[in-house]
Amino acid sequence: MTSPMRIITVFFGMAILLAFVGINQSWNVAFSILNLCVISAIMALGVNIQWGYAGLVNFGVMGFVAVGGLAGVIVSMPPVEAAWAAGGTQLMGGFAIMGLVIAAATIFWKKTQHWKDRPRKRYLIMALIIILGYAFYRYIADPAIDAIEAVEPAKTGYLGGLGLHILFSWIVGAIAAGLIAMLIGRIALGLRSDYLAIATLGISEIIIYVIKNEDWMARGVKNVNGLPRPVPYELDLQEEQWVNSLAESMSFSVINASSLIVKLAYLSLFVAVLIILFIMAEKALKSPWGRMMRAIRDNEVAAAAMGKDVKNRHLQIFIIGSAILGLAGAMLTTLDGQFTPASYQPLRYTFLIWVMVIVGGSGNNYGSIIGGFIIWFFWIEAEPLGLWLIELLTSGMSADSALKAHLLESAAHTRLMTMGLIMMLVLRFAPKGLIPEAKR
Amino acid sequence: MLAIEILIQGLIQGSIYALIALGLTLVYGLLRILHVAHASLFTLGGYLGVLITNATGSLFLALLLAMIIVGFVGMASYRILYYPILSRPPLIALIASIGIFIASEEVFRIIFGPFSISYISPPLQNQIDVFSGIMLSEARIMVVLLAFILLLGMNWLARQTRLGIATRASVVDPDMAMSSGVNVETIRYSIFFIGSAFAAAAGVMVSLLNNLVEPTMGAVPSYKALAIIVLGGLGSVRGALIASLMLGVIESFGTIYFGNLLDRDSLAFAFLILVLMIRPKGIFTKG
Repeated sequence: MTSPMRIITVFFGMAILLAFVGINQSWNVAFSILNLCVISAIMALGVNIQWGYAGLVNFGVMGFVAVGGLAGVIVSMPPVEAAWAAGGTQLMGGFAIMGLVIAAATIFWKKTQHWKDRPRKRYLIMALIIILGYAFYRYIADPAIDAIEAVEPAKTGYLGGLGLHILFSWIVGAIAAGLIAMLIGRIALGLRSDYLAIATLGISEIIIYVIKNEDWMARGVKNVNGLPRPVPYELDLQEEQWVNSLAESMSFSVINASSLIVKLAYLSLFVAVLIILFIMAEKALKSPWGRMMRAIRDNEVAAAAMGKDVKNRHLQIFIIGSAILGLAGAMLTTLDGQFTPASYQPLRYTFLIWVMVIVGGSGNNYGSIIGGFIIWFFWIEAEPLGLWLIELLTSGMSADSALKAHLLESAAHTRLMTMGLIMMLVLRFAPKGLIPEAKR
Repeated sequence: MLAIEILIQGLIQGSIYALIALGLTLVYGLLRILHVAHASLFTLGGYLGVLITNATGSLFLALLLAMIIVGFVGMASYRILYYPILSRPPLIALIASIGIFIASEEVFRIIFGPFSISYISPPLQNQIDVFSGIMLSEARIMVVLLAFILLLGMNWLARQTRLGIATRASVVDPDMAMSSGVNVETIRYSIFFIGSAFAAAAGVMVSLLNNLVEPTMGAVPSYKALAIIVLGGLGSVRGALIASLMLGVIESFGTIYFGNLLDRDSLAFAFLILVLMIRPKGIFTKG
């Protein structure tokens, strides 16, 4: 076990930081930071399961998170009847054709494996199946897509969702991300880690590109706003008797109290998920399965020689980790109440989550959770901190110095620099992270 | 006619990719590190090109100075960034490199301001009739010529000089090279110098073509260059060059004929994934 004292100290420090924000800025800010801290911690947990347990490099975090967010839209928004009437069935027909083409191509590929002597013919027929199938799909689907996107483009212009409860999307998001991970894993998992990193990075870019451009799915860059919420609305709360009396007794304004209650409600949902995942992850890590994973991570050849199915175990853990990322993505969209594909940037998702895992200490679930908390905290608070730091550094300069003015103006841009610096410092001086993996 | 024009545009874009990817693949060959921060040197080169040209009025001087300065910055980045973590797994260096790349974007924003900078009087903008009605600006022609000259020089360096032979030896077998008296550290510094200088040249060229530099101009090359060197087979110089040119051409045809399907910057990855499925070790590697 890692020394419990260290874990307690680090978590306690985190609590003090949040309390400091609560007292000095406002409790509302502190809790909104905390909410995202918890979601970030779940994402970090997902990456840690892939990298820390099994040594798989997933640089496609952004893609899986976006898939989870998309699930939020598709599950929770009410269906757009007019769009379904305009081209829904025809589009589904298009997808059926697509499915058939893929099935036909796969079967052909499998059946012709013995065609070693005429590979050219095999490739040619394969290409023909795909191109013809794709053309047919476009022929069916394109008019349908146009019709759907023409339905009140300013308001809808998409098929809408299933109109289910949004919490259901958490499961759907996880499953969808898992399925995509299975697809990607089959292509990319056999590759060396460098290749895997680049392939996953590329695939996540493509996922985002598709979501941005397929307007019929979730309105693309026009965003979907006003997702249903799993918790009550502030305005309704402000009418409630108990909220008013509570606000009075705590000497908050009613508006403040209602938004705090909403944040606490979200927080309790998120923390519940985090705790469940954490317990499951810890149990898995300590089980024979976890030992096997570590064995594979530390020496693939030796593990394979002991009869472990390295390839399938890799695929399995890639799916599990990605499903957790999808779950976190759905949670994030639930919290935001909107789905904005343009906000998915590799920097904000992929890179930041990796920093969390590495700063926290990879291979250690406590570490990734605390990493998620700390990095998200500094990500949000970097701006005030940067301003303060630059003011401190330039306090010696005269008030009208041009350099000082320039530096103060640039303080808003110090966020990424702070991140880069924190990570460099941690890598340099505590290369195993704040809470290193326990020796077993 | 249109096809030829698209082809030429693709080759121009491809030669810029080649200049960027060359340093990356050399560093990978020597150190097994994916040097993402290479793209920030490319941006730095672009900035220096514009600023020095605006200050002195000479593009040639700007190109030369940018290459030399960025070359030294590249050497410093090796010493400060990679040297201390060489013994750690390569992924750590990769993530550190991404960290530096992202931080550098903000540094550019702080130093040069958040908005784009342009040439005061953009040089080499005359259109020349290359053959039978295909018009190209002098800048575009210069890009191709410069890339050609630099790569030819590189080839000479690699084949004919002691440094080049020692470099190739250390790529193939670092331990053996070291025991034959090759100073591996010197090689690494010189590779970082050359690779970074080439990236700077590419930066100056891009700034010239777009008449624009901005803090985020390294974002797309940063990952596209990775795709290129994987396509070419990691660490292979010739593979990277061919892959660069191919990608340039594929992109310029792709944007015209498949523009509604995938945009320019995703095409590289779609192509990459396709290649990885069929030939997992890159197109040009044997076996």
